[in-house]
Amino acid sequence: MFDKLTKKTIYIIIGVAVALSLVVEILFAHPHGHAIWDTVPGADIVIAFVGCWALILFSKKILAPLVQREEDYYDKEDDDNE
Amino acid sequence: MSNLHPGLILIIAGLIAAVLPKNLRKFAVVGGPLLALAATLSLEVGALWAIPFINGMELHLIDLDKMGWMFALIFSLMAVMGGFYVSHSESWMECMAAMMYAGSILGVVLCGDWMTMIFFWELGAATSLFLIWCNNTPASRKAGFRYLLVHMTGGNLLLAGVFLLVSGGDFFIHSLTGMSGAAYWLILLGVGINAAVVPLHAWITDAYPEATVAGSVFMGAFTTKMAAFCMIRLFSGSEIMIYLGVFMALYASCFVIIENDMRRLLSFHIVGQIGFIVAGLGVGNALGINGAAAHAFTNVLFKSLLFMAVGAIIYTTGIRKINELGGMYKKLPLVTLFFFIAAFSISGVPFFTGFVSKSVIMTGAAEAGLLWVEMCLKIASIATFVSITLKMGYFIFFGEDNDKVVVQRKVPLGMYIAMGIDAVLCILFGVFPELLYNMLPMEMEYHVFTVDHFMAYIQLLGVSMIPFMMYLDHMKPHSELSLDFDWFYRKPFKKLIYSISSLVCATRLALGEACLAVYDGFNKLSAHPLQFIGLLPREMDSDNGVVPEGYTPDHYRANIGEAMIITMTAFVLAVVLIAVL
Repeated sequence: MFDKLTKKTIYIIIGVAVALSLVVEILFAHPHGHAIWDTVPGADIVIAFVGCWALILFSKKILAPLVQREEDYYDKEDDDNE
Repeated sequence: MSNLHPGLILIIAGLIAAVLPKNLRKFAVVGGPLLALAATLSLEVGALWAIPFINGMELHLIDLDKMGWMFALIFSLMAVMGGFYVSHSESWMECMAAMMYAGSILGVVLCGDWMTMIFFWELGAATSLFLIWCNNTPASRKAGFRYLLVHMTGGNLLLAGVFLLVSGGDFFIHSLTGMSGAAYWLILLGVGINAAVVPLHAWITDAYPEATVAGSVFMGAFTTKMAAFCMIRLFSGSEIMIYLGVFMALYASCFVIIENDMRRLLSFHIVGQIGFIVAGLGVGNALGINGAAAHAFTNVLFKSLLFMAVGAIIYTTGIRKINELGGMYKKLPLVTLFFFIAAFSISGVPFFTGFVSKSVIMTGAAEAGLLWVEMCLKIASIATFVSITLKMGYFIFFGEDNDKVVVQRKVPLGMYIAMGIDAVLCILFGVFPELLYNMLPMEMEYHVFTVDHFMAYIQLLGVSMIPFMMYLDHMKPHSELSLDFDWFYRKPFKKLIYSISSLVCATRLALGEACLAVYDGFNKLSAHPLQFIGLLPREMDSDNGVVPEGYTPDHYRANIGEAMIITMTAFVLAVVLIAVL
């Protein structure tokens, strides 16, 4: 796993890249669509963060307990029947 | 007319590969696809090869439109790469099945009538089954039987639909959009099973991880994309497809976050990416349909490269789970490079293939006013990036080194050549999207390299790294199995079948016993009727005082002389009677 310093460096790199993209978007982009993420600069930042966070949370906290079983879940049953 | 059918070339190559000795087999599996590619390139749009069939029908083995040619090209290219990838295989059956399977899929893409389509469709299902069984493990044998069960069901539904159409005089393939009735739904179900439409998709996540390493490369590239081609051809513009597609993309997005088995994770991604395609064709405008076709095309490239890279790891280490790997970039640097090219492609990183196809679908949805579709597909894109580039990329190739991982054998040259060609194509079509756009079926004006596209993707992909980093400790998958819709036929359906079978067995046994009791009753009755009606005492036999054990016919039968006299007398009386009368 990353140590704290590496994590911090990565966050900074992401932050700088995204900030630059935001500046370029405001200055040079000519949006083609009419959706909020086309017209409002940086809307994709919010979509990405909230979307990704919600996905991870839903999958790990709700989906995983519902559908994950031990690996020999099906095999055990098969042995019983054979 | 052209008699060089690329699919038949591959099928013949497969049969030749089966009989050639081991050291010559590789020439058949590499040479056959190269010939097939040359045959595809020699075909022109509009080519027709018709042969007469029964009842005045014609079979159109080749009836090529623009989209058919595009899919024939990508499948021929895929066969070449797959041929290199499987060339090290020592199993004649694997080589034969792979070639015949690729040939069958080309047969479906090239044909123009329903009968030829169903023939190649079933041949593809049957041959691909052996790619699973060739893995030769108990799990692969069982998964193969389930695969067979699902695909024969799907194939028969399609066959029933096709029979309905053909019996109505409808011989040639055409769009079914706007139709209703049994044929429409049967064909939709049949194609939907092959296209892994949720909830009919579970065969894919069940069977693909159990196939041979090369087998999963072939299967991951062909069946679902062929079904996607059929979907575009038959159901473009059907509104139901939009909902199905978006649901597929989001459904897969959630499972890929928690999945541990590498090939099972990639199988979920097939479902997700086909979701993009299905949504695109459902939108039905020029951009949507073109986007669907383009995404199927690029999907063959990057998905096969992912399966190849993961297959190389499984081939060399024997490990298939993410949590048992780590630090692989030191051990397999070239495979790492190829994996990341494929991962960037599927994630939609600019200048890789996924970017140029995915954004066409999203723009198509936005143009049709379906903003919620665009939004959902954006989230599915994020999930792809997080689960493949970040999760698989980090935990397999970087992350903590696992000393238990030993590279037991070298990656064969054929595998490297296949991955090399695939990686070059992933970048080529990403950098020069016009090469792809010029092949698309509909006319469109679309510029993918715009500032707002670039910036949107930098923001989407860049920012989605933050939650991943935040939850890094939780992102490492566990050694657990995630249940899918196959649970229904592996647990309750299995129990139901066992219950029905036990009920039938119990009924059969009970009926048998009842019949036996009746038989015994009659036996006793007929053994000694006099005793039964009470003329003889039950305890003793009348002659010698021994209790009879059963029916002894001689005891009551007249001797032969008496019988003769009675018979003769009756005969004489009869003759006299006839004479008098």
